[in-house]
Amino acid sequence: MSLLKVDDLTVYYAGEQSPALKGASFELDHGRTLGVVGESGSGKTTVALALGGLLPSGAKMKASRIELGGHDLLDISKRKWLHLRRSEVAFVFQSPVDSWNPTRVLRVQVKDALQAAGRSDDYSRLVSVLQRVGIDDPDRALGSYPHQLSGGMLQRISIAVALVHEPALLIADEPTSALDSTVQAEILEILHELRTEANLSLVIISHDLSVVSRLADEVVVMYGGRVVERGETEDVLGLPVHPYTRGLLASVPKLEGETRTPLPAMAFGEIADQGCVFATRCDLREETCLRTDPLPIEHKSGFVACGPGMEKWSKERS
Amino acid sequence: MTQLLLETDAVSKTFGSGKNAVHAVREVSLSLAQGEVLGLVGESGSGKSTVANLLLGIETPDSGSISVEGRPVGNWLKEEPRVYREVIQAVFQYPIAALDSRKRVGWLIEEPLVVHGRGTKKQRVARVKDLMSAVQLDEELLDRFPYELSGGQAQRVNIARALALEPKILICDEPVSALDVSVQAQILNLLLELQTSHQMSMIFISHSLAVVRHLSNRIAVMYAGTIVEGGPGRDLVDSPSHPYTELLVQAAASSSSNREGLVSTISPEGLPRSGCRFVPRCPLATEVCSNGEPELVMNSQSRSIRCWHLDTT
Repeated sequence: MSLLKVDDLTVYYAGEQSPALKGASFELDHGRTLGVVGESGSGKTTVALALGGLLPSGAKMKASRIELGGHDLLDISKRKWLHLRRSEVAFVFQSPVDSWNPTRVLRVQVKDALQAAGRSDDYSRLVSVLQRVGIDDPDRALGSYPHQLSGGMLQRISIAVALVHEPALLIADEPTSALDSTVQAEILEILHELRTEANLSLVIISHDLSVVSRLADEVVVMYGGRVVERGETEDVLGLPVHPYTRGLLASVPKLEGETRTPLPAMAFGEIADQGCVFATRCDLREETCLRTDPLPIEHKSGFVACGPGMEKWSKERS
Repeated sequence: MTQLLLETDAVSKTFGSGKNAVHAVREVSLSLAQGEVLGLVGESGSGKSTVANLLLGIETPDSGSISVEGRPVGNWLKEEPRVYREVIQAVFQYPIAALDSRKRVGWLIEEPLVVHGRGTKKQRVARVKDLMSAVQLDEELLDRFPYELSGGQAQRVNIARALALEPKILICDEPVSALDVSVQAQILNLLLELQTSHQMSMIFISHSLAVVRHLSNRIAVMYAGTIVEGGPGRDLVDSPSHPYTELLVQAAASSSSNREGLVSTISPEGLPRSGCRFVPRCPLATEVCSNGEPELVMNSQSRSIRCWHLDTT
C-alpha cells in the first residue's frame, strides 16, 4: 500500500516566472526508499520542502493529489500540517554542524526539539535510539557542544532525534554530502538498517549517484524542475535511458578503467524556457525538443520524458 | 631521470600544546617530480589540508624541511616570498568564498599580475582574456561579481588566477568537492588539460578516492597525520595493501549490490596516542600494533606501506 502519493506537483517561488518544480509525480510504499537525484536548481530540495509543508511564504504549490498515509495534504489546515510533521514525517538535512546551535549543549537543544514537538516523554527513549545509531556513550555526547563532536556524530544525533517518535516517513536531504566517504558509508548503512527494522519509508535526496544507488529502491531523476526519468534503481541507474541520466552516470570518475583521460562531461547550457528543459545541453536534440515539452513514455517500471532517448535505447538493445 | 621539483623530509606540524595538542602532520615525506600529479587522499582530520598549507607557506613546519627546486622553502619565503609564490599556486574548495565578493571577475584574474608587477595595463588585459579562454570562461563574465557566478564558473576564475603567474606547481585542495557532478567532470577535464599542456606539477587533494585516482600518477593515503600507503595511482586502488586504503576502496565502491556490511564501526572517540593510529578500526590489529608505530616501508613495486602486518596484507 502506498504511504505517499504525489500527482502533478508544481511549485512557484514568490516573484519567479518559471516553476521550481513542474508536474512531478511519484509514489512511495511502506518500507521502501525513493531516491531523488539532480543537480543544484533541479528542484530536488523543493520536493522535500513541499512534502514537509516547509515552503517559504509566498511560494505557490498546486497538485492534483498529495496523499500521505491516507491524509489528503492538499486541503489540510496549517495546524494539521504541523501535527503530521510531528507524528508522521521527519527530516534530516545536509549540514550536521549548521543544524545545531553552537552555543548550547546538545542535551538542551534535543529536549527543546522534543518539547516543541510535544514529546518530552521521548527523551528516555532517545538514549536507546542514540545507541542504535552507533553512539556508544549517549550521555557524554548529549553533554557536549556541537563543536566537540565530529560531523558524523552530529548527523547520527540528528537521525536519532528525527526517528525517536517513529515517523512513517523520513526525508533526508543530502544527509551525507558534508561527511567523509567512510563516515558516509556508515550513515547510509544505518539508514538502510533502520528502514528495515522500523518499517520506515525513506526519501533520500542527493546529487551523489552512489548514495542513491546504495539506498534507493526507486529513483526519480530531476532536471530543471522536471522529473525526466523514473523507475526501479537497477533500471534507471543500470540501464539509463534519458540523455541527462546517461550523461550524469558517464561523467563520474570510476574506481576502475582508464585514468588521466577526459571524462565524458556534459555540455554547458541554461535550463530552456520552452520545450524540453534539457534541450540546450542534449546531444540527441531534435527540432521538436526545442518547441514541445516531452511527454512521459512508459518504460519498464517507470517512465522517461524523452522520445529520442527512448529510440536510441531501443536501437542499442535490438 | 625525472627531476624532483618538490620534496618534504619528515615534516611535522602540531597545533595547540600539552593535553590539547593536535598532531596534524607527523613526519610526512613526499616528493613531486616535474610534470607529475601526486594525489593526497584521506578523511577530514587526516592532515591533508595542513600539508597543503605547509607547502604554500601558510603554515610553518615545527620540524622537518621542505624544498622546492632544491631550495629550502623556509629561507626562500623569508628572502623572496614573491618569487616563491610565482612557483607555487593553489585552488581551494569553496570557489565563491575564495573570491573577494566586491571585486569583478576581470580584476580578480588581473590581480596576481598587478601584485607581481607583470606587464603594462594593456598587456595585462590581453593576458586576462587569454587566461579566460584557457579556462573556458566567456568574456561576457568580465564584469560580473563572484555572487553572480555559478560554482563552476567561480572555480574557473580561481584556476585562471592561479595560472596567471605560470606556476610550476599547482596545489588543488578539494577543488571539485563543492560542485555538482556534471560540473565536477568539466573542472577535472580542465585541470587535466591544463596540467598536461603546461607540463605543470600538481598536488591534488581530495577525500574522494575515485576523483584522486582519475587525475593522479601517484597517490599517497593519509591517516591521522601520516602517510600510511603510497604508490602508483591505479595500482594502489586496484590492490590496496594497507587496511585503511582497503577501507577507502570499499567505501567508494558504489554499486547497489554491495550495500551490506560496508564498513566496520569506527570509534570517533579520539585516536590512540601511540602505536599505530589505525588500531581501533583495523581488522588486522594485534598486540604489536599498539606497542609501537610502524615505519613507512618500501616494498617491491614502488609501493610504501606503514603497517606491522605487511606480510599478511
